Amino acid sequence: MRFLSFLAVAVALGCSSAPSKNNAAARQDAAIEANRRGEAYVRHGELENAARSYGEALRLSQSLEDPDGIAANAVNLSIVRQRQGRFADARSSLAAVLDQPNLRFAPLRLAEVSLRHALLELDQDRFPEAEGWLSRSSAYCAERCALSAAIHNTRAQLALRARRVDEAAAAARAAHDAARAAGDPAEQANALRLLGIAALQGGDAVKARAQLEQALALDREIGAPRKIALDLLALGRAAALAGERDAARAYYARALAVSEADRDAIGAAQARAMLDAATGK
Amino acid sequence: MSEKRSDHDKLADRFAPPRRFRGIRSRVNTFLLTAVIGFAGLLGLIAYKQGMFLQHTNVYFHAPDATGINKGTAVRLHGVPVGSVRDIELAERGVRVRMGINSEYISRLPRGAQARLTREGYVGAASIQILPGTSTTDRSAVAEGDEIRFIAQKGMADMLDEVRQQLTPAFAELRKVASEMADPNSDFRRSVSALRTTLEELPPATRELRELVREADSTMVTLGRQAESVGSRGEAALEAVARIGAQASEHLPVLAAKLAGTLDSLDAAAAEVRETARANGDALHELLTQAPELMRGSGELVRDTRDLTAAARRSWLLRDYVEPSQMRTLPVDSFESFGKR
Repeated sequence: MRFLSFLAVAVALGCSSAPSKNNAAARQDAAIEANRRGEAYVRHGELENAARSYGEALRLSQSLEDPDGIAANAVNLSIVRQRQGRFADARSSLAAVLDQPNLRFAPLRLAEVSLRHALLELDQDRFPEAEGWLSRSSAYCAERCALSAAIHNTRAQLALRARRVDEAAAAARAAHDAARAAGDPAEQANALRLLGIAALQGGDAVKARAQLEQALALDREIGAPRKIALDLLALGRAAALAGERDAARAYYARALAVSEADRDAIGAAQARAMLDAATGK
Repeated sequence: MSEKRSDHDKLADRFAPPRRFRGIRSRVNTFLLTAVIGFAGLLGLIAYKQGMFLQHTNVYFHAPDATGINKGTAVRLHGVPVGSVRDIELAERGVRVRMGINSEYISRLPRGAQARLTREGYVGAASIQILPGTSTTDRSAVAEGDEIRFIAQKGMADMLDEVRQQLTPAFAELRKVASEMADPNSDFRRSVSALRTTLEELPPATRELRELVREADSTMVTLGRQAESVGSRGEAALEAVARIGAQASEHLPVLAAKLAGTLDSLDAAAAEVRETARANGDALHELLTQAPELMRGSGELVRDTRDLTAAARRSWLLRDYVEPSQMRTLPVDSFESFGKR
């Protein structure tokens, strides 16, 4: 009899299941699902679908007042909109974080959003605004955070645009150290590319080629075709600076092939223009 | 005196140790000394095996997660143990792991080397595998305090998500096609209906054509006879015409018969086609009737699989190995717009 009772309890425990999820958990799952869908669309280059999915994920996160979800999806949406060239939409997506004083966002998220704002301003050649957002991002990031390398690299780009080569090189070096310490090969490659471009602007072709070759190796390892094309174009300029015209043409032709294979019309046009200029067409 | 001596000897004999315990102290001391030396030797052997007499170089890496990495976890280069994990500390973006690498092997570890967590089989012991890097990475040897890169492994949740994300659009397409096929107003259904109607109208058309040929045949025969009667009463030229008419009347039935035979074959073929089409149509109809149900079943299957996966991920067996679902942020790239300007 005791054995039967024990058996009955065991069967009852075995048949029992976890309590069903409540509505909030279901909405959270739906938000994560939409977030992952957006990521898959970005991977396949379907930007409009990606924007729709991230918009849905952002709406669901807002309905739950989930600060982390709101920030993550706002940043993702702004990246997609920037790639589409829809800057106003990109900015308005970031407002979901910046215009919410009642929600407590993590400093790293605020740094991320400010950096995204700075990159948007930089993309539209609004340098003072970009500097302002970069300072805010840097303040949120404190002395060192996961975004340190990206912040230094953006600062280096701003300095390069203002022809402050030494300042750009210093910022790129800081970015390189930060990226290496954080194990972030993408930003490490960006820093090396900026160091190469700074060396080019300083007229040092040998140094530029050394830095750009390292950036190219990293970008190949990561598998970033647009960055590979940028590295090859810069290497072409370095070869041209050293007076090696055939090598420069070869680099431009490689950049053109990479951009065409990646269906990057802007990159391909840029590479074609440089190739034509090098061949004297 | 002799009596006293005798008593003393008696007492000495009484309290003297037995002959078999003679020299016991030195034996015990020898035993204890041997035990101490043996224990010290054992400790020394263990320390030697643990690599305490070897000089080690501390090398670090950052990992997003320390799951599976413990103090003492072996560090291997090409499968050869070259050190072990000495310390794990929390850092800004995960953990910072200190590895003690046997200095004998340090020259074989370039700065561009990468570390990754591996297991011997699915349930084997974890170890840190060092990948020496490629010819394009930094080949200079690591030094005390250097950091190398860590390659994070994909979790089972990531792999499942990738598979699901790749399958979902395919299922959606399949569902769309099936619903289109099931829709009576869709192009496909209308085409099939039109084809069936055409095939059904083919036999009456063939019969009508056959009738027409028969009528033409009889008309020609009549015409031949009339030409013959006219020719008998007509001039020589008309006789020639009559002869031609007669010849024509002789050849035409043969041609007509051949034509009729051909049309019979066509009729049979059309009947066969109609039968086949009907059979295929029935099968297609059956398939189309079942398609929505099948798709609903597939949808259910996908949902069930998702639930099962979620349940499996929550189970005690897997939950320690599966990363929890969380929002993902696309990497904020400082070169997002570079090159477009």
